[in-house]
Amino acid sequence: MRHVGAGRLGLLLFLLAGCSTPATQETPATQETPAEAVAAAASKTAEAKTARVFFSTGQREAPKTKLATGRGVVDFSRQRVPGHG
Amino acid sequence: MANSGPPGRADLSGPVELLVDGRATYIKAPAGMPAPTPWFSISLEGGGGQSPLSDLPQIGSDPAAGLAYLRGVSDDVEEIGSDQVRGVATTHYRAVVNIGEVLAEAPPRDRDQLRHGLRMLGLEQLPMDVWLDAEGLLRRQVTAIDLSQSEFFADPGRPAAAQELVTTVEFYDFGTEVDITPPPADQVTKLEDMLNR
Repeated sequence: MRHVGAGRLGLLLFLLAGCSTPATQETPATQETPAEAVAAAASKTAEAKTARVFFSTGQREAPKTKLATGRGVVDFSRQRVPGHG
Repeated sequence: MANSGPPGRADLSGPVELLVDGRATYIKAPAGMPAPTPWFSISLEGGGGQSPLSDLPQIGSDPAAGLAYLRGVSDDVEEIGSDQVRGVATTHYRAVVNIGEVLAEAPPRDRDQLRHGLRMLGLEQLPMDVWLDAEGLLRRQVTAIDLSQSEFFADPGRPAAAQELVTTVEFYDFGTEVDITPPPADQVTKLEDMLNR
């Protein structure tokens, strides 16, 4: 049997304790910044796989013209959107 | 769909059914349109001048394409406040999209076409408002494209403010059942072929 000295045993216990401690207890929870939240929304929304969608395109200023509007469904790789414009 | 116009004239004021499947867009022929098949298609394949239609910017034809813009936001995103979108509590953010970042994140096969379309629109940055729910899902996205900066679409005779094109996209009922099947090939005519007839 190999012997582990006290100093090394202390180091080993420290490392084991660190490994077994959930990171959330060691590291303060970080608040997602607005930029991170917006960037992450792309993958989070795509992970939802499907959704209904409404869209509208037009000019903001006069003459206010609605060029296209529609609604449909989307699976984020293909979508069926009946609309008119 | 009823067609109140003269026989043989397409009723372009009514609803148009549009299906986007990857790089192909299918449009159901409006009532009265003298189309050889119920659907016609526009493909992004063969861009770079091989097809005049494939050179058109595809921005706006794909409501889900706006998700790509989210990955290109600059660091100075502003939190505007709380808001309701279709009865769902959301947080409203205002951001500027760095088009260079969007291009860098785009799949390589789409990059040239996207770059070409954005160049036609004269876009380098894009102001964008987004509303995210508590789970971080995109509920509403509003983008404003200033066409007065486009060498292709600018109208020097009109004030810049009147050339701002605003697009609103809202997503809701996430997880809803979706059945999307592109029309069979024998029901589709390429738009280029129709124009050459």
